[in-house]
Amino acid sequence: MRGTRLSAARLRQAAVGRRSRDEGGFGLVELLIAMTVLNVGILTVFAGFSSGYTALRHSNSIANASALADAQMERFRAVKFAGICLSTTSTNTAYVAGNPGGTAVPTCATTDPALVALRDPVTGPDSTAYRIDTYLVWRCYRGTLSTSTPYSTAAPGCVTSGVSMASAVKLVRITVREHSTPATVYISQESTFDASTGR
Amino acid sequence: MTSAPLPMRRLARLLAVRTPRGGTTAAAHALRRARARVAEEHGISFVELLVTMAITVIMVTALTSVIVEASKAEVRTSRTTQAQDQGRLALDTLRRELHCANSVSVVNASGTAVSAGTGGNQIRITLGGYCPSNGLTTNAATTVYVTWCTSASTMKTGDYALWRRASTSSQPACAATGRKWADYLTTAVPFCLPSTTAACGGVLKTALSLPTVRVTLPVNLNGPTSTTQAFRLVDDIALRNSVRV
Repeated sequence: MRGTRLSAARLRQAAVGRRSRDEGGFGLVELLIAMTVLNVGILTVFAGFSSGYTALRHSNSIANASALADAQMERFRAVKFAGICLSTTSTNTAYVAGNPGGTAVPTCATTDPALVALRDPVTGPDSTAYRIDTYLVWRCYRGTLSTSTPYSTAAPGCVTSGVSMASAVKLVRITVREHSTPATVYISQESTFDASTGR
Repeated sequence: MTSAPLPMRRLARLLAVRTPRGGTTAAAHALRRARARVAEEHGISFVELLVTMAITVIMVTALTSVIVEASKAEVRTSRTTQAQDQGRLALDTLRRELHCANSVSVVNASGTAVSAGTGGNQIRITLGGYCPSNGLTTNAATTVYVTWCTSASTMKTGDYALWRRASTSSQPACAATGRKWADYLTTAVPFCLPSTTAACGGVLKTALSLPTVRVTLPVNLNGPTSTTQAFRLVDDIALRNSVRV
């Protein structure tokens, strides 16, 4: 019994002694560790700010690109069905990866300078450069596209086993991309135009 | 020789520290030593306090100015974004109405229709009851008269705000009432109808195409003379119910 009490007292003594001896403020290593931990915290907060700013800029670019895409689509709405075509005069080609596929609508002589496969650079509302790719293909919602007699490449039909199902419509796809890196797509929109409206 | 027993006692005491029986004495010793050390520990002095406070004040002042600047920038960005969003929304609504309109005319501030290629501060639209965006339709037979027009902004001197008024009885006159759709516009004349010979902003109407209305909404929070933070929405909106000429 006595022995255990004694050892407890000794332990206490040793502890008090150590504590009062060790009081020497921060060591360099402790300071370094504290600074590292603090730095990690601060850098995390700043990384959050930076990613927030990037997200804001990207969403702004998308909004501006969609304004450009709307304006481009508006040009097709203004022309006749026969006039919904891309200009023969432009030698620029649209970015291949975004092509909706299918038979392209033949090019034609149009006077609207906006009706070209590629407009690059185009100044957006925010005064930065974008590129607008326009794809124009035939679409059949019933049957498959036929360009052989009595149809032609300029006026194809949609047939199933030789029976006409519907007239083909023109599908316009407008993709707005980043001017410098065309692989970056901001917005892509599509609209179909039927021959029965605006002939 | 009175001091003779003293070393013996001291020795005994010292020995007592190491003997199990002298435990109590050892603990008392330790306590005394600890107290002596604690007594040596004095708190911070006045000068130390002053230095600490000075450093703290400098740090807090620097941090406060950073936070104030950041908060100002946040407000500015938020207002810019909001103004630009409003412009986009106004253009989108206008597009829907113009697509559905059965009559459109561009009018100047004195209320007379302008000639082709000339800018006007208001646009008068007649919407059939079938138009989804008129917001007033209670039955399909109701015609809604809509006037979009600009008037001086109350937010920024030199800028303009875009208002929309609608009525089922007659064409509303231009006034800063109804709903404000956009603000901080740097032009008073955002509307223009081009012809094949008279251009709007350098763009002519294409032959055999539908008539288009050129809508220009330049937004700038810093006023019309500023070139920084310029934002300019332009669109040629086709009047789809019109005739191709």
